[in-house]
Amino acid sequence: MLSSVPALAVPAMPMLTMPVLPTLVVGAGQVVRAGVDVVRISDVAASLASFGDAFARRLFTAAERDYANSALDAELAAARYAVRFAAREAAIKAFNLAEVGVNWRELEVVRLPDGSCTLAPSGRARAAIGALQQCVLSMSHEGDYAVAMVLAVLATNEDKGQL
Amino acid sequence: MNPQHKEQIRAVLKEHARLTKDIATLTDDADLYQAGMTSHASVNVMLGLEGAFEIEFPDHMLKRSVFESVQAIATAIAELTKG
Repeated sequence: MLSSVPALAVPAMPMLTMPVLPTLVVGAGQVVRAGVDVVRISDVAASLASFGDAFARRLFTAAERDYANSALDAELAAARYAVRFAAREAAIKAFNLAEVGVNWRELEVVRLPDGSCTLAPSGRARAAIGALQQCVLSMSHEGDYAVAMVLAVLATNEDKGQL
Repeated sequence: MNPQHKEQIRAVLKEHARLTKDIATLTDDADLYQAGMTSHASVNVMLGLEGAFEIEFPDHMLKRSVFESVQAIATAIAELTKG
């Protein structure tokens, strides 16, 4: 016999009175911008199979390709490429670069000696980002999905109130 | 603009864009991202177009808006193949 289950008391949620923005003001002259992206690893594997080197060379630096291709099997290599692709898309969102026109290789994921990764914008991408003070990258993959998040602290132009 | 270009573009989109709708049902101005094309699929489309038209998209054209519709892609290809 099923026992009766008391209804859960759900507290009333407060109404959001502030707009939800991708930019967070954290202090005088500073804002934080966030970007996140998720990619199917099997889709990236399919791109590598369809376009071969053209796909990898167009999107990733030599160091990134060397690291991804050093994986013990093709599945792990595809996962490494996928998290790095997700990192680029997260960076494009965090830095608002979708309409700038940048080379993906200029949003390189650099692997540090301790195994952690950081984002190293360069060239046209770096110039378009502006006054970047700090950038945090987090990446993960599980099953068929790779995900990346970028948090960027940028200085604002206090005279104009803009980045 | 070469009228055959749009048919070639649609063929590339059919193969690589992973749209949730049949490309034949979409107008030239239809938003491909709204029709299911992801950012990753748009890279496949770009590489497919480069192979089909024997072109290379320069960095300044690697914008979301360049790949957002058949018309936008056709305009970019016309610029890259002119002259």
